[in-house]
Amino acid sequence: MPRLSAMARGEERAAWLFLTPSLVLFAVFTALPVIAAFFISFTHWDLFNPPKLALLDNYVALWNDPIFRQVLGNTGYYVLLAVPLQMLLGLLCALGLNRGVPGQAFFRVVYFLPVVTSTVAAGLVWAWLFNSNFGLINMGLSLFGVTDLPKWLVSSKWAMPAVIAVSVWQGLGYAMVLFLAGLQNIRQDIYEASALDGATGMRRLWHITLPLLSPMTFFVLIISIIGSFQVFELVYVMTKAGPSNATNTLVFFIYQNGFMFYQMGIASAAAMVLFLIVLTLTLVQYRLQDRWVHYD
Amino acid sequence: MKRLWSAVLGLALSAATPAFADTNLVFAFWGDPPEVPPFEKIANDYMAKHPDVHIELQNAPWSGYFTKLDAQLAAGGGPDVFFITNVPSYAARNTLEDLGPWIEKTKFPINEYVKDSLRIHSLNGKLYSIPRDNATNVLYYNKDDFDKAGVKYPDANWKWADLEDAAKKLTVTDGGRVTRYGIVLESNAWPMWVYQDGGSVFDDPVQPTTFTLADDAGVKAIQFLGDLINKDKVTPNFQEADQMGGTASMFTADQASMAITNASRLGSYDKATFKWAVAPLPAGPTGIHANEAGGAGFAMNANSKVKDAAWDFMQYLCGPEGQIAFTSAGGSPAVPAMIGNDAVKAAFKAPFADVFLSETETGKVFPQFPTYVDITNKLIQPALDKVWNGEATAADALGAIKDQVNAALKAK
Repeated sequence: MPRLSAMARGEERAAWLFLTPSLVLFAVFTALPVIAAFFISFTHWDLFNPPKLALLDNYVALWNDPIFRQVLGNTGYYVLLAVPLQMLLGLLCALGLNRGVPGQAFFRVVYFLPVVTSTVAAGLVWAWLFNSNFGLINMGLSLFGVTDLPKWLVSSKWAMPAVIAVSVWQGLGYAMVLFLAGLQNIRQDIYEASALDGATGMRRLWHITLPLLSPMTFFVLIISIIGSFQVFELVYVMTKAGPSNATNTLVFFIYQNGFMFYQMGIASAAAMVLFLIVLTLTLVQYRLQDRWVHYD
Repeated sequence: MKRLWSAVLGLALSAATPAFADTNLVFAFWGDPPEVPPFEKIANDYMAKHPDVHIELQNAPWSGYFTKLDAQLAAGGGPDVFFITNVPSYAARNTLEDLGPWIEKTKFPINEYVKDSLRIHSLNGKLYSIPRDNATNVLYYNKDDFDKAGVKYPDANWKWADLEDAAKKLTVTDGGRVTRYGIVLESNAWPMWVYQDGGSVFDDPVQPTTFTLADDAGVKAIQFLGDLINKDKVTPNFQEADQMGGTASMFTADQASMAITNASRLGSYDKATFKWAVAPLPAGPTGIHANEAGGAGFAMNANSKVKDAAWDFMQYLCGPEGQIAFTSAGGSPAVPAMIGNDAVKAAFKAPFADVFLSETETGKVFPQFPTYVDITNKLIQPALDKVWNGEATAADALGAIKDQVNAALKAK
């Protein structure tokens, strides 16, 4: 390594100084707890008495727990529906609002509002809308002559789709803003060149816009998947994981075991499983990105 | 400006008070603002009599109370005296002081409490908390709705069928949707119905060896509740009822004409714009009367540094003085737990006090043991969910978990 000049050394010191607060916070509130959780996952610990060594007991217990299997299935179902819907609708909104239509600033704000709305408040209001008897949604359906009205949040079949619908409603604004930024990064001269070659409409979207947007799509995909695996507040507010665990997802399961049943070992083991799933999916996506992500 | 100065002065004074006191006691409790005054009164009265003790009150709403308490206890700290439920679970984690020796040493009149209600405050025969009140349920009914529907008011001779019949007549529908329910119930009070049917949840509610809810009587009671929701459509699904504000707001908003709940609702129903009254709970099909026994209680921190002072305060808090303060409180009077004490009993002057007191005598203990939170959340509640939403019959849902619950009981 070449020797740094006095000025560069000074700048490096300044850089560390500025980084220190966030590094300290990261170490204390993120890195240490993650490392601690790793070790706790090999113990039996009820929070109140000293932990006892459990080796792999907690992982075996998870493997044999039918509720945990159901929770994994629920989480997969949630991610598989919420992520594509959120991205597709976010992209459509972004494409629509990137064409200089009148009032587009207004609509950008409207679509982004749910993102900055408190999840708890939104969840409570949506729970009212989904109320099987007094709710507006079933009132609307009955106007259209639907007689066998879904019981939404209390139905094993419909509770999860209802939660997914609300999370898509809440998340699509964020995807939209990112896609809008990506769209505005595409150089205008490329479009002009393609126009000269006669590419318009769908062909232009397919061959120019989407490939050039792909780095942003990749980014949105990764954060949507990670975010979806961590769904918690909506479940907590809307269904409390019910009925019969139909909406119990991984993070709720961790919360339940840790802070309702005081089984920190099981909760930490489940957290490690979540970490492994997200890590694997992210690595696989990084591997696959060469096939579809184009950096100019 | 004046206000600011008085605030500063007040702060300075409150900060200065402990300096005069030899002992500092921390007393934590949950409760909405209308429920706070008796706690404050007890602490202030006690401090007036004991100038050497300062009591610091920590009040939190129910929803956040236990998160905070658990964190404090886990860190080896926490309040010296606190309001508590789920006593066996806390006792099993060695966080509560065994009160037996203290009671013996000071001759505390524990025999003036209902003996049965002390069982849920104990673990393995040791008493870890002293109950504050009885969560006795009664049937509240909207007289105006009854008059309009031409239904006879409930009385002590009512059985389930009478309740179901009245609920059907009181339920109002519009275009297939219910606009007013006949009745609203507490989601966690279902064991009471099982007891009224002559059944039980476990062979013993505090030291269980067998799961008995899946037996005939239990199945019939659970199915009766399921039918009220799905067949008769006279009461909302519990999950949705809670989301709509439960018994507290549905009855006051006239979204339900009857409510079965405890005395803590007297305060909020007081604001109702219609005439209402209280009746005893209906008996089961064979005439069995049963209610919920016991309520929350007060415990001492096993790690307290000032146990002598804490117990002295607890004797006042849980003795006749404290009981009278709670039971004569204006906003939400509590049905006293120290029912063997005549002065306490006489101080309970809530509206319909006679109904509450006579119903208290039919009280039976709900399940309460260290692994119950686990078993009910993982097995019983998911099974009940399927009955409440009509996706399974009580016989199928409870039959399916019977072996698992029994296995879970044996494991611990």
